[in-house]
Amino acid sequence: MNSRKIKAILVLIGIAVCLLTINIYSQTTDKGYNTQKAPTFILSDLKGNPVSLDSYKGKFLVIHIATTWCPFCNAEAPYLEQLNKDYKDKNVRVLIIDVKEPQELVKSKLQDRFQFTFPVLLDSDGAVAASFAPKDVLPELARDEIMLASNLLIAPDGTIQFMSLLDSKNFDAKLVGLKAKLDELLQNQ
Amino acid sequence: MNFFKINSYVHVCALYLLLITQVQAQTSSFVEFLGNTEVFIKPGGHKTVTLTFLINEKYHIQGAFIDNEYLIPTRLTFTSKEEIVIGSVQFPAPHKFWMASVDEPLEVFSNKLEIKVPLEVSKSSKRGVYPMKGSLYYQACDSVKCYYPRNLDFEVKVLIQ
Repeated sequence: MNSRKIKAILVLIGIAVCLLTINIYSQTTDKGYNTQKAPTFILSDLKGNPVSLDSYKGKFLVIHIATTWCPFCNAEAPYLEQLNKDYKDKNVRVLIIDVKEPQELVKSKLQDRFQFTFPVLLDSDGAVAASFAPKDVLPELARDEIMLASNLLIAPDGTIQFMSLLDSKNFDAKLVGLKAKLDELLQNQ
Repeated sequence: MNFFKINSYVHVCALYLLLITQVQAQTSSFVEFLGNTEVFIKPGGHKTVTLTFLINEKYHIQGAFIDNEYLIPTRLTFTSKEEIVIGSVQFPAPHKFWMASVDEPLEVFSNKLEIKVPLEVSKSSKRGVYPMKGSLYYQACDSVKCYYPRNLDFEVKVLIQ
């Protein structure tokens, strides 16, 4: 093999490696979740009542994945409550899924504090949060962990139409991005 | 092509691969302990040791004495032999971190975190090496996400001599 061919092969390897690097870091803005069916779940609310994703079929569903100590979650909380009030008549529902915390703590530090008028569900082992997580984002971290403070928008057909984990470069406490997507979907339905 | 040129291209490829692994590695550790790992104190002596931690540049951790009761403050705890008396830990002042579109800032630590720990050794202490095991309990966030609280365990050898 002559030197030009070796040089060309090595340059191609270098380009391939560069592209791989770019791909790894573009995955945080990859919208590959689009039209993916949301994984089903049944979780208990703060009163112990089971709540299933299937019960929201035919509705738009906003899900926020939270913990009591998460500053971003706390900052968003009032805006989630407001969104619930503003969009309830438009066939939109809201849920919070709290990850790996006891019922008493979630009740006192989330529900009693923010007085949500929508369900707060307990994902005691993080399995439901993890089920929404993309496999390739921050692979060294637990799947439920990377979902903390994420917002999801599920369409009436059960597909995920928005995931803030993948779309947001800047924190959006007032849910501007999510509401824009929601308004777009409501207009097109 | 001569050996030198082939060698250069191989090194360039190796550098590309190293770059990827290093960039990936940066995402996996939030805080690391830089030292001091050894402290010398005479029997009956006292010394304030500075423990230095490096918070990965993408992240911040909550401050130590924060007004917000709902957040998890950074804490530093120790276990050591009775010869070593550990005083009140002195954290630096936190700095403010503003979440986008939120009026109230967080009080956080980022970059280098230097914590002063006063140590005292009794006069009757025997000379020797006394390990002091420490644990930094912290909760990290980046600009859009938060992560579970974690312990960073480390050790400081106190040499009484």
